[in-house]
Amino acid sequence: MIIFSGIYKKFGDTVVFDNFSDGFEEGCVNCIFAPSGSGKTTLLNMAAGLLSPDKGTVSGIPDGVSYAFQEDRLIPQKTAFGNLKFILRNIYPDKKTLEETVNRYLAEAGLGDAAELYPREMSGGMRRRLALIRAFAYPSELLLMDEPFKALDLALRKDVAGWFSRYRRTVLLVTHDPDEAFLVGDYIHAYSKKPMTLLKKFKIPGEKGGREIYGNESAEFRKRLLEPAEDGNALGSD
Amino acid sequence: MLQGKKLGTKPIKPLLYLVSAAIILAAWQAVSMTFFKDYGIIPPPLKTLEIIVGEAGKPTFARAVSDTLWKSFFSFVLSFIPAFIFAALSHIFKPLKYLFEPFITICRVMPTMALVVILLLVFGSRELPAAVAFLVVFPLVYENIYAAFGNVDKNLTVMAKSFKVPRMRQITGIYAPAVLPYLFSSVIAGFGLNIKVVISAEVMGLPSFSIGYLIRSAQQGFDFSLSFAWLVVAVSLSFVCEAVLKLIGRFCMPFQYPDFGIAKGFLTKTGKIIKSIFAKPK
Repeated sequence: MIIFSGIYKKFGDTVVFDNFSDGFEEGCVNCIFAPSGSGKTTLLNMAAGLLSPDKGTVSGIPDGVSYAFQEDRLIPQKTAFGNLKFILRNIYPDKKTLEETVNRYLAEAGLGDAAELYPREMSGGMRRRLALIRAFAYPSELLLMDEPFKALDLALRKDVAGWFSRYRRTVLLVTHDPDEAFLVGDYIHAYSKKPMTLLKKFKIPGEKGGREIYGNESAEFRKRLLEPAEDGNALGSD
Repeated sequence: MLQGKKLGTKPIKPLLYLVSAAIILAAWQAVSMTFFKDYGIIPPPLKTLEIIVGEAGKPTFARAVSDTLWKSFFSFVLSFIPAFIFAALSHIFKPLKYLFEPFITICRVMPTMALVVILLLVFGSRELPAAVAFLVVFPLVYENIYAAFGNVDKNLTVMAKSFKVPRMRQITGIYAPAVLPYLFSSVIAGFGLNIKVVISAEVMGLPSFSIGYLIRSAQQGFDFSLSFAWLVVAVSLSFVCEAVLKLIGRFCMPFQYPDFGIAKGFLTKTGKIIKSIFAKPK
């Protein structure tokens, strides 16, 4: 289990976490649902080791971590192939294996024909898919995703949702869209605005992969997620 | 490439260059036939070409061109390498930037001709052009490269760090391609300026067998047409150098010039064929 314990973090005068504690299940897709500006990305950055808490501990982080950032963060001077190769070259020192792996993941993302395109020559959706498949392609036990479905239409969202089952690993997925969480999540953790506090945490109903965004189950999930917490603290998805 | 498409200028780009060249030639012809006709200071284009062809046949021509070119190249390398190192160091250790700043500003604002006169007392006429070029080109290259380092996208370095990409690959994969376009534009701008400064210093310092020397001697012999023809040679030399540098830049930055891929592919294939001809049989 990935455990954040007694976390305190502030930027300037703004306290983002004040004695924050929560745990995330291993091997599951844990959705982090909170209003904008509450500190969701900071939470992921601490899990990635890119930021350290001022106080408290983060434990259970495996060695291999991959990160799909909120922005695509693709190298503009490299092609789709080059962008994937850049992060995988160290993992697959053999040139042939490396090229095969890169091509396999590009094909998986539906970018087989776009291997030689530079990011500026791709559409927003293509760039997003490339950024996401990069995170899945990197062999890791923990996958951090910051609003991964941004710029994807419903059909592509369903495609990407399939990757979660195919490349199973522990996922911390930040979102403020209940539908996204419902589509791919196993658990949902809902938080207040900053300083971030856990308001509710529950298993998402239904069989993942067979969930329909516009069904009754989805409506029930949405209602349970958005209704005020027991302490009266209201959630908002902005 | 994309901008060209957007503005719709790309297909007519060569035509625009030709129009521009035609305007320059027409203006040159007009000026030579009106204002300076009686003095022969500016000969018409065809006459100038005739003079250049005549000069090109003399042994002094190749020697003067190669001497000036070599001096320009040498002094440019002499300015470029320290400028690159100092810019990289200033980027890594910020206090160094503030330490260098006054020196860079002094170099930048120093009047070139006054500098030539002072340096002539210290350096010989052969070394003078290189010394002046260093002081003129160094700040330009330093500032361009420093700005280039500042433009490296921090988000990308964080991404590389999160995927545990080794530091050396971060340098070659993120820093180098981000810095390269600035590097080339500063090389192109710096080298052009360098030739100009070197020739100016040659005119003042008069090292024998140099373009500057031949411009000055023609002027002293009241052969203004010859002096002007040498000026045209100097400008042409800058044009050729700029074109060669741009070509090298296109090879080094395929991401900047995707259209160049066809030419690059052709050259790569030609290279492979040549390689296979000379390869040892297995």
